[in-house]
Amino acid sequence: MIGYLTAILIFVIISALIGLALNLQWGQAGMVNFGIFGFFAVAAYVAALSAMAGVPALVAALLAVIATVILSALVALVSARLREDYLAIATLAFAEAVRLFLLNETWLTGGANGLPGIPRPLSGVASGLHYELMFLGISVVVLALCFVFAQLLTVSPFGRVLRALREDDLVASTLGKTTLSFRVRAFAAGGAIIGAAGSLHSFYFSYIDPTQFGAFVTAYAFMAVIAGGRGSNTGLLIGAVSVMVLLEGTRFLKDLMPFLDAGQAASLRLILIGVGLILLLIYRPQGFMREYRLQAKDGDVS
Amino acid sequence: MLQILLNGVVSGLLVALPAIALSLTYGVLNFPNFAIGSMITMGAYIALFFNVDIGVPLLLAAGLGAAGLATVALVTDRLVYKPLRNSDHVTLLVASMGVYFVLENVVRFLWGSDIRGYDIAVARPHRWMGMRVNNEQITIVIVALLAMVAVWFILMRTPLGRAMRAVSDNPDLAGVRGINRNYVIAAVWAISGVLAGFAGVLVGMDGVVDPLMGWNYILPVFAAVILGGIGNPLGAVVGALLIGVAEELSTLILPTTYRQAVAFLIIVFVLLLRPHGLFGKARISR
Amino acid sequence: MSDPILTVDALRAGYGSGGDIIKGAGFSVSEGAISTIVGPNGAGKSTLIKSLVGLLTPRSGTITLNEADVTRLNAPAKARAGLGYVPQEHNVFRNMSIGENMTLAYEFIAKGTKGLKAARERVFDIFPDLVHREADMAGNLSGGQRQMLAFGCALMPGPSLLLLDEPSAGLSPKYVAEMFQAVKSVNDAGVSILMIEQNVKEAMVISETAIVLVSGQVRAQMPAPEFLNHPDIHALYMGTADVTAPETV
Repeated sequence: MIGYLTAILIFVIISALIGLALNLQWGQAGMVNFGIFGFFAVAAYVAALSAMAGVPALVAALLAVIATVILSALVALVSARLREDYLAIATLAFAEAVRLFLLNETWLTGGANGLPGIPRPLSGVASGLHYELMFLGISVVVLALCFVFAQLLTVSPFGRVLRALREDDLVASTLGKTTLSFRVRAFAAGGAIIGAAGSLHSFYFSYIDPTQFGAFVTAYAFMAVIAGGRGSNTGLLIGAVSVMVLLEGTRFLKDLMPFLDAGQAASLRLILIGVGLILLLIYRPQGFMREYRLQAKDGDVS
Repeated sequence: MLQILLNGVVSGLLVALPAIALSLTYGVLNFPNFAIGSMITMGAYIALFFNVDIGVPLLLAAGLGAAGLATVALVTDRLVYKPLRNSDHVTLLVASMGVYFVLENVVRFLWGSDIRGYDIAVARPHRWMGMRVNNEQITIVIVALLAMVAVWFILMRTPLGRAMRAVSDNPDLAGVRGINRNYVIAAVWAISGVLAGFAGVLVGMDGVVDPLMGWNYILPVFAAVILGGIGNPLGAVVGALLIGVAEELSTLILPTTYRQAVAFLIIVFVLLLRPHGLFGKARISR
Repeated sequence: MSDPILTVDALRAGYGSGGDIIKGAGFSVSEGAISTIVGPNGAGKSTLIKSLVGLLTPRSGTITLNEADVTRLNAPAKARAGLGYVPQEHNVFRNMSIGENMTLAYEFIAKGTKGLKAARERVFDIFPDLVHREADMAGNLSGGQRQMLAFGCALMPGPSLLLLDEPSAGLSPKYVAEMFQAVKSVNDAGVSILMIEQNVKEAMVISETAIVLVSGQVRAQMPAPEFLNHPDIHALYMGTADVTAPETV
């Protein structure tokens, strides 16, 4: 039972990290990133391949972060000026291109077979449940660091400018280049957090393949952000936990309905994800928590 | 070379039907319907159910698939999009992502994830002007062209079509002119469902029927719509044909597994250089 | 003064969760007359007209058209009740031809195409510029021509009251005169007219009644000549003049 709980908590932390990233990119900066799963995949593969090449885990994770930051900045540079719907299409297209690459460049990524045997960090220090608990500890530290990072960005003048740009297209277009630079930086900052999430994912599972990085990752992240209240980092943590509890809860559907086969149970869970997302949008679009605001009005750009 | 062109046109026509559907809903409802991929899949499976499991001839099964999918589209609108009618378009596009998950997994739930195919006789390809042409390709060309003519006729020659173009161009003015927006929206969903339904059957005839078949068409379909200019269904057809041919041509220099990357490149290229599409005027930056 | 065709009473309207922009406005429009709403920028003129035509649902108050309560009807229903409307901009479908614009303006309000031909002829009589140009795209028309087309489209279904939102805005002087001439001839044909106008002096020449809207309220309703000769129009606009608010019928 403790083993199961530990695993769930690590899942929650990884999805909370992705949610934090989306909260910066979409929640704060208003940039709809439908391609999160592509960035997440890049991070996971970079971390995995580096670690398998013998690079120490911390450096491998750092490389993954650098890779996603650079890619995010590039994608944002190309698409940050686009209207939200086009941005969604462009980022989704990017993620699909990543998936094609992962599937086809078998020499590097193992293709559909994926990458097995990714070395787990500090595996000599502990084993079994102790190792799981230690990994959980590391994940908590990573989440804490990323949360503080996101929160500092949110309350800083940088975050206030981002929200002002998001709310007012007119201001955004008059500022032109400045707007672009703010959005690129916000997108890249989100990318850094996704880099951390991808590294944790690779190290924890020690096996990755392209099916782990599907559009459902994006759907989870949007659910967490919307449930938590767009823009609120604290709300996001609550959102990520409740979404995960809901999803894990659906695992027991199979016990309730023994006549379902494994495939049907799995698709029923994904149906529930879709339904949950839609219900949230219809009934609780404002989420559990209000967006962070300073005393000053949101509109003032300082 | 001619063979490549022919194959390109055929795959372009496969993209054209869902591209028209996407373009119609994009214009009238003002959001990109990401569920279009799973609509294709579901249409293919409804027809498969009638064709293989019940034994109805494929043509009739395709009609039933299209009608079934039109119903699904109308029910989705009633349950999901209608309560969100006054929301911003980001909410709507995230909602369509949710609809995508529901539809694709309803298919998996009901029919499993195995690869399947329609009950059609395998025939040797015909030879025509030095090209190999198989029966499926001929069917695809005929059905796609008929559907396109029908859409063109509805759009350009009927009051409903005028109403659709009016709402797409200026919803407020359309209201002042006595056009009931909900009626037009329902019609657009029904048409879009019929098109996606037929597209599903054609895609399944051309290849196989599996739950991911529609998702694999998302990129080319969006690329076609962006290329043709949002909300311009006839432009989307041209975009689709260009993409079909470009994909076939790409196999000359790229491994065939990267065909889909062509759509990605086209999307990036268009958004960067010609953001209004080849014919469109809509503003896409902010 | 004849019976009112339109009566507005204690109307309140605004957007989203914001405060009221129209704050209890009341006035009436006499049948067969041209009435003009004037007022400073920000008085709420376009919000008022939007709630009159049904693009914005009023929060409270009543709108009576031809003795029927139309307050809560949406735009298509108000159009069918006999209310025509020419918006200030974006008032034609740019991707359609002139002919299609005119057909569209008729078929959904009249519920069919019976009488379409006669309606076309009526509009061509008033706007001869449109004749023989049915195949031209509306998006390619000049500002003045587009305004004429928009006006003509609003007339197609034979409305009993026509609302014009700044018909002369952005027009060259030649077209301004022509536009007001058109308004007058439409009115002579029996259509009651309510318009918003910034060109106060010219508008008053053809108007019968002036309605002064300030800060979302009607400060005065008076015959046009009286308004033109009012010793202190400025004060009227500012709402400081000693005019008692008109009683609405």
